[in-house]
Amino acid sequence: MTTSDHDPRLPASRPISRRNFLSAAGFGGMALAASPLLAACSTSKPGSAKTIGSATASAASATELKKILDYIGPYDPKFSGAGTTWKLGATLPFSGNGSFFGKLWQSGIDLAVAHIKEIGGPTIQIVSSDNGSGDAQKSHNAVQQMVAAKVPGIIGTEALGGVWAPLAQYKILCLDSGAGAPIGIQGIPYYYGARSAYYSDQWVGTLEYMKQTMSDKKSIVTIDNVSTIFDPKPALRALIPNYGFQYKSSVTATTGATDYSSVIAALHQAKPDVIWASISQFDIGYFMKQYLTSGLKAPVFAFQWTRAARAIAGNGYTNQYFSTEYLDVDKPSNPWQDLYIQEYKSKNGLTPEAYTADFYMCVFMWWQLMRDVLAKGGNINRGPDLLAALQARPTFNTVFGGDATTPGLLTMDLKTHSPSALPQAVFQDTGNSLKQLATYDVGGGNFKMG
Amino acid sequence: MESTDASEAAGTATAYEGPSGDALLAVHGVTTGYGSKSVVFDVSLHVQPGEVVGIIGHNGAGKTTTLRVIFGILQAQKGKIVYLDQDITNRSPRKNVQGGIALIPSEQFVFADMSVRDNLLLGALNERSSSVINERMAEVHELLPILKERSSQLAGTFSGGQQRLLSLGTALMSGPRLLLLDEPSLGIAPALVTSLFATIKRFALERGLSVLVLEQNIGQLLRIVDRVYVMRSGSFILEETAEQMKKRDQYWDLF
Amino acid sequence: MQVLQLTVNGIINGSSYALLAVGFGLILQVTGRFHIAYTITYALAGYTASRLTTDYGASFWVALIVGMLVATVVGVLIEAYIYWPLGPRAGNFALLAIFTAALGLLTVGQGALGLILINSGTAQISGFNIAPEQIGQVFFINLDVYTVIISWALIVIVALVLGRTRLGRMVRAVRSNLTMSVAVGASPRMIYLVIFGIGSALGGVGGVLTSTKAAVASDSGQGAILYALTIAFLAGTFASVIRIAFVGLGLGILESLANLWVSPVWDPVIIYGLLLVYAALKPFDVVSKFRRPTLRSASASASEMAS
Repeated sequence: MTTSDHDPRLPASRPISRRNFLSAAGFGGMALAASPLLAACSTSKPGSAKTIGSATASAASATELKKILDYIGPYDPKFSGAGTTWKLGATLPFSGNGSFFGKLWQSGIDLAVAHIKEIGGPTIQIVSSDNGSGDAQKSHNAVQQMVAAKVPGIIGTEALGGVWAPLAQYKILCLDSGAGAPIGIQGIPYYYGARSAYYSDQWVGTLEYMKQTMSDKKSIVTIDNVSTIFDPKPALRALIPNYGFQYKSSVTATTGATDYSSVIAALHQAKPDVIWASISQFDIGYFMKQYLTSGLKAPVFAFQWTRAARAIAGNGYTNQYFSTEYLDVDKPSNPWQDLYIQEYKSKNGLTPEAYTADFYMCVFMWWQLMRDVLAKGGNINRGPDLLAALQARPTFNTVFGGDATTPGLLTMDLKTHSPSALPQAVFQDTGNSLKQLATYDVGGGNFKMG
Repeated sequence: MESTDASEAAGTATAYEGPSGDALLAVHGVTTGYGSKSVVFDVSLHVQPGEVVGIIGHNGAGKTTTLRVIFGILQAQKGKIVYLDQDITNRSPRKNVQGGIALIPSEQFVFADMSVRDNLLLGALNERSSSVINERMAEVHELLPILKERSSQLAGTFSGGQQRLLSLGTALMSGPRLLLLDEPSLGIAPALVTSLFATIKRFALERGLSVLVLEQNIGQLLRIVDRVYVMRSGSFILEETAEQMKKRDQYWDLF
Repeated sequence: MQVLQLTVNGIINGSSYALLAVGFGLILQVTGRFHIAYTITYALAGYTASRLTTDYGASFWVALIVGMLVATVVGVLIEAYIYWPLGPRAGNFALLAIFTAALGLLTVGQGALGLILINSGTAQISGFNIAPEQIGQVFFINLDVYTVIISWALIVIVALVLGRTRLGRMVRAVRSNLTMSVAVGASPRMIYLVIFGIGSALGGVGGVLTSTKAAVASDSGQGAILYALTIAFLAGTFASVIRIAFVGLGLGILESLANLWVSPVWDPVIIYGLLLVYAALKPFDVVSKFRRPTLRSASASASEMAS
């Protein structure tokens, strides 16, 4: 993939390179001949798990990569796992409306696997399975495949589609980088959120920002998908007035919708001063695109920024606000973030985005758990040992936040199983870049403007 | 047609050996079937201008298959079909309709969800001149007044006999010289069969229409045909004039 | 005021549904094929328009026409080289075999498009300057106006072609009675190809217009095709083009107005619930709509024989 002449942070139109085209055409032809193969190549075939990643060569020199060791926290090289092949699971959305994101997140995992190998860690084999973007049956199958593959740990997404019971039953530790561990599913045995929780972790920081900068605004209308996990409305209704705003109403949108005319009609009716769009993946792009020409002018706050959704929204994203994990591609906040951005660009031809970095980071979290287990003479292929390591040292260095000398921290709350610390930011899409407006930790702590 | 062992077995009547040189339709040694399987073998027949010719035979003898290969629905695996001195072997049904051949199938012979008028217009599908279509429509209305009276009625609401008349009218709308009729008595009350066959004969006489008709109702058939072919297991076993056939005491041995 | 806004939304969406339902319904009516791979022609038209406008600088209108042509060609090729040859080979199981083939085509097509879109997940159609419009307190966009006009113009053109021309008579003949259509000199194969062409062209236009408003994704049109199928079912498989179109429009308005009382999440439940109620209350109608008319005449003959 060639890089664009535009600012790399922008959703440049992406002509298909000859290589990609041939690859796609080849897959297409292959698919015509044998469609089951297609399922294996582009999406995981339901009912079968497959290994998607192990160490591959990295673009940066080994010396450069070894700088990562300075930022992942102290450890004894004896327990690095070098020479070990370690199998981990990943349930990713390879089919359904989030299938594109499955591939994207996989790129973050693959890069971490390669980096860990190059800097003296183990060879990590990722056994992946398709959760059908949260489809109940596929999620169930995906977890069952993890059980069958006897992996001690899973990189989760989509809150595992609600299939948590087998984790404790088979003692498999899950770190969910896709959905986190939002209110309603916190404290589930063996299930931990490895990113900010949807979307409650951003509420306080975002409201604090609004309070400091939007005193002329009064009413908020939220756009939500139907959640099977928890209903955010009561909590928001109680929280929002504390910051001087009025919670006016909520509009429900269909997950995976592309037409938002009825949502926009409801917004016209409600006439809010601020809109909170708690919808994600492509949905937020489709909404923003149609919102742009709706005649409504209220600023929109969204809680996920991806290049793919921005490509859909186009100018619909310009001047709108986002509040979540943040990578500053112009001024990386710490050296590890800088290295990650350069490496990701080099390997994938794309500027990375925070969501993919969540998955990159998650693999490093697993490596820390492995090292700690080895240091204590435990068994890295036993879930309880890995869980004990997490409980013993629930703090991880991350590519997010931090400063010129230290990376940011993710601290796992052992009661909620959701991060109690993880750097977040309020940022604005200016049309040709992202501009950081404020930083805070999940839950709103350490709020700072600028 | 030469007398064969089969014809001898079938009866004692002398086989017809009439002329076929000026035939409107001549089928020469045609073999056909479905896919690679042949079900009709080496069939030859001819129909003279204005002649009404019948084919009789038991179910599955190959009568309909023979009609289909003549009309071009099935491909001939062997042999030749000549119509108006032209080789029309494996010519498409569309071309055959344009050439003056009309087919009325044994079942599903009207467009049930369309009006009588639309059915008749569809009969003239390959005719582009509206004046010709109007002329034919008038002629059909004259021959079959019920089709004019019930012009806007849905064909599917007609009785079986009325649908048969409509199918005849539809066939006439194409301006045919040769009419291929597949078991016209099928599904019609016996009382109506006589009048239907009389109508067919009238068309042949008044319009110089040649008719090739498949039928199992031998009694009715012999009232209108000039000659008859008897088919068994995919081959013709006998060819007789209607008069010769009528002299038989019984027909069961033909089946 | 919200009623007015939702009605306008319903007319806009209903016009898109009508266009797709006419295209899909024609194919279903005339050929009896559950062409669910219709989604592929829809998405492919959008993707073609996207490449033409973003990579080659083509104007939106050129891209719309080329997208429509690509959909037409693909639709015709599917019928010519997949469905038609499959029919005789599958014999009595032709309906199932062709449905399975359509399902396979859909899966393969979506998978292949997913691979092509692997770097972005979606593709954009540019070249149309989407601008907001407002009449009183009713909001819409300029593209919506074009969508409604183009959809209904095409629907009327197709209705006129089918109702007033020789081609239309042939189509009606094939739809009504395949055997007799051959007897009167129509060519079912040619008619099937024409119908796949027309149906796919309508789907292609719908694909480009809708994708311009949203984006092209590998599963573009998947929801729309289910709506089209529902509309074709509700209208009846012997319904006229105009009737299908109005059922589509009505469904769009109903779906939109339902948002006065329930959230959009319930839209599919309302639409498919309507189909379910219809099927439950009038099961014979549903069954008979999928019987060829020829069976009706045959059964009429049979009952006469019995009497």
